[in-house]
Amino acid sequence: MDLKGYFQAHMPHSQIVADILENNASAAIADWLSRVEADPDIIPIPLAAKERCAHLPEMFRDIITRLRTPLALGTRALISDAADEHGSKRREQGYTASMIVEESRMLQVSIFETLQRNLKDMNSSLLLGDIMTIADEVDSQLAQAMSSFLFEPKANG
Amino acid sequence: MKSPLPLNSYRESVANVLEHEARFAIIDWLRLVNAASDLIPVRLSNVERCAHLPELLHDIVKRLRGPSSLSTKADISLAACKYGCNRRAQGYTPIMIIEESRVLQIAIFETLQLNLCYVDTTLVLGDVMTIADEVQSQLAQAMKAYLGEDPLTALSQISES
Repeated sequence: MDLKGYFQAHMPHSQIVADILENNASAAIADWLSRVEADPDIIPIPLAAKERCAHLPEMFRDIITRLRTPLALGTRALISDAADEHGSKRREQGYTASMIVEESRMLQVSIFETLQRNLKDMNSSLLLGDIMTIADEVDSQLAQAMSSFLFEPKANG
Repeated sequence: MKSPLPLNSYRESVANVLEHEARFAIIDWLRLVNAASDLIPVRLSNVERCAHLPELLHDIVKRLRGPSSLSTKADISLAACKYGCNRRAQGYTPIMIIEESRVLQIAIFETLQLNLCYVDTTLVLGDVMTIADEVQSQLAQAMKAYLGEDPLTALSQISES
């Protein structure tokens, strides 16, 4: 058995997916950025790459934490401060609610494509639960981001 | 004497399973939404609440049977646009629409998990990614229609009604 086969046999699958995502987060973020910038019709707000991607490292960490924490689909147990901050920031930057949804969709595509590139030789049916967890966590982060996006802070005084 | 077919020959595609089990997925969705009444407090009859689901599920099945990959631009889903407009009229907030979309994805995933023994497992991972992408695409379109950002949608709705 080669090393990869050994890990497949002995590591929990969520651990493998979480590790792949952790090791390839930068590549996934770069992929996401090129996807967003390739279609300015969808998100026409001009932003520097740094501003555009500021929320992503923390959001990736939250997805990895979710993968390593067995929780049912639909859970509300994990609060993502990054998603919360992201929603407020996007409101200040002039985004609309649908642009935030589009960004979230592109994030999910970038994550899935990153995994597809790195999981070629693995038994796909065993990873099904992890893919469902990622999709659910991206939705959860979107709901949290939207919640803070729509929150109007009260004026002082 | 014919040799027995390999097991996979008896197995269904994810699209077929979802098509056959759409009713189950809708009932599961309704159960989950009713359980989340603190997040979606708008009162609706079951018929009004679920009206959009047969068409949305049909569009998901269509996407699964089509050649499009994750990165392609999704087809326009009139059902999603109509859903966004209706939810606005029914008093939903954008967050409630996102919650319903999340629950739809969960109901579909649970339906697939219950039927996994009938599914062709060689393609299931990619199909689950496609489902997640299509659900988000429908959500994006519903949100645009909800916010009135897409005048073509509004026009098509008026012409339909």
